[in-house]
Amino acid sequence: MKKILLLLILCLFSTLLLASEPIPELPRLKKTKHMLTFEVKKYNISSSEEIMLYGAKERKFINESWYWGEAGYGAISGRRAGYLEGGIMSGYLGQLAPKLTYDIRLFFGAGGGGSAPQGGGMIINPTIGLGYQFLNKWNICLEVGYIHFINGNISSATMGLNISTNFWALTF
Amino acid sequence: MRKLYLILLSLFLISTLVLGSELLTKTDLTNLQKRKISEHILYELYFCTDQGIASVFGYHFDSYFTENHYFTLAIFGAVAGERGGYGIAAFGLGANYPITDKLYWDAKALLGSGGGGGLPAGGGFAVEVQAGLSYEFMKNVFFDLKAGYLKFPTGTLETPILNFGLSFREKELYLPY
Repeated sequence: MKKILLLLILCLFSTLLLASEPIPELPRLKKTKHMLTFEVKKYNISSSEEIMLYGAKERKFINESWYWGEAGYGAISGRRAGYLEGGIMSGYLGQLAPKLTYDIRLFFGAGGGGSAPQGGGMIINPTIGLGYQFLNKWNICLEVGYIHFINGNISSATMGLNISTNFWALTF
Repeated sequence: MRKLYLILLSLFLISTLVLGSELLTKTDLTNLQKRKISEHILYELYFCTDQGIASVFGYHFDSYFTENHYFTLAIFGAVAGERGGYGIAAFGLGANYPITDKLYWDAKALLGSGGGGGLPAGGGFAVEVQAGLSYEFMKNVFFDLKAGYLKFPTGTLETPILNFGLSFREKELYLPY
């Protein structure tokens, strides 16, 4: 086991060193709008049990408003330590007023753990949110939605609060 | 049919990688800046679980917002100690200061979510602090050794920790807006 770990570490680091190369011409650089979000959300895992999750997501914009990305969450309250959600999402982030945004999103993924009644674990979670932009590139957003485990026994309204920051991903 | 959906979904996702990109403007090029990032591959020991020492293996990614302060992301999974399935992911802030040319002091605090593998982690909320040394034995490649403490406030698991591993530091370009 230790030998495998050692070999893995050596392999990873050798690739980091080998991959280094001088920067090509800067004018070839391209930028893509991204948004990094930290979120707390809660919902009912059964009629008598509430769960709160903490996680992050990254939006990659394909134009000014439409995006896709990935998200991951883990339980932070309740009694389901080890309960996780992860998946991909697609949505639309629009502007209602100069500093007011709205966000419509569909999350599709997998979740479970912590002995929850997740069945096969397939999740669908549409949400809609209202956000406020501040300090140029930050956005705070309150969201409501509905989570449904397609082949499990969890179905509940969701509520989430998140804070996001915009950044440009640079690629050649 | 399911395979077809997966292929179509994959093609859509790959196409969006290209669709959203645009060339940098002259303003962008004049505003390009560099920042430090650091990637750590670590083996971490938990000394006080109810079944003896447990070990996790994982990764830290540090993105510097000043010369010495960074935002960090951590993800670990159990590899030893009869705790298969345990995992933890966390975000936090850290500080890294040089002591000598090659030796650095490093400390970080993390908040996250973890559990599984039968560990008594309650609702899963985790708080971790750690501090230690990084020694640069090759240009931009470091050996890390840190000690700290992990606590699950909604569970009963709390333990001193020790981690060690290698880290790699480089600079990436970014736009400050």
